[in-house]
Amino acid sequence: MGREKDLSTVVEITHKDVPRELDDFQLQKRQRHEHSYDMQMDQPTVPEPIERVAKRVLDRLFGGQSYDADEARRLAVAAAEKIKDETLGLVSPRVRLVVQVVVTESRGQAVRAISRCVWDAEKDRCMRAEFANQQLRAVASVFAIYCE
Amino acid sequence: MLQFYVSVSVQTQFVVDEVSNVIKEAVESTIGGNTYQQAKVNQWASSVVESCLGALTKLQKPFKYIVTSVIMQKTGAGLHTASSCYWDNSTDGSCTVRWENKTMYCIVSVFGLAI
Repeated sequence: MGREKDLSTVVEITHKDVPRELDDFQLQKRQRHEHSYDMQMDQPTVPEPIERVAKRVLDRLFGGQSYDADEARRLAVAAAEKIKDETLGLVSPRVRLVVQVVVTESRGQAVRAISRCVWDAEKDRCMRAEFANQQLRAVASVFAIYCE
Repeated sequence: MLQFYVSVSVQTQFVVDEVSNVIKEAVESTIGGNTYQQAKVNQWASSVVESCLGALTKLQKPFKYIVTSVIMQKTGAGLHTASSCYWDNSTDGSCTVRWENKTMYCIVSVFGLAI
């Protein structure tokens, strides 16, 4: 089998979230929620307000900024947190959110970002907002997953 | 009032090692040994994601998955990804793997949310 291993390849796990044991507070929270046996979706996720929110947060945080490595890292995290916090107010309490912000420096190189999901097509939504200026580009993706 | 305790077993927990191996395999088999080519990037990004998802669903766990991949040419420019999640800490998890060779970076993030 032909292909010799390219020795210059580097692979690294840069981040992981490992499920944790429930602590006391969370156990109590869980016990309080009895199953509601509600099969209907109580409140469909509307994409437009969330996209507006994401765009507004990106414009506010990245507008007029030039790319600086440390600053970009801080802003990316801040943007993700802010978008998540504001979106929580717009969706049903049964929805779980994943917000991802990708910031790249525009130096004329090409970047390709793709996402695909395995989920329930009717109930789960994906929303996206972008920001671009001379020095940098930011893309925010919000995934809202409905869980009973 | 009914008190019920949820016992979480390995079957219903996001296992980072398993998932990171899946990602590494998928990336290596799709773009391993290649140099960056503008014309092929679209197809590569799609197939990285497709093969990740295919392998993840084969694990047959009760999870919904979100897979994102970013492929970037190495020109000295910087790239940051940040994510913020609202989920169930005891069952859900994520894993981000950075793969690079001489000409490009590929960053794949997998978020798994238990059904």
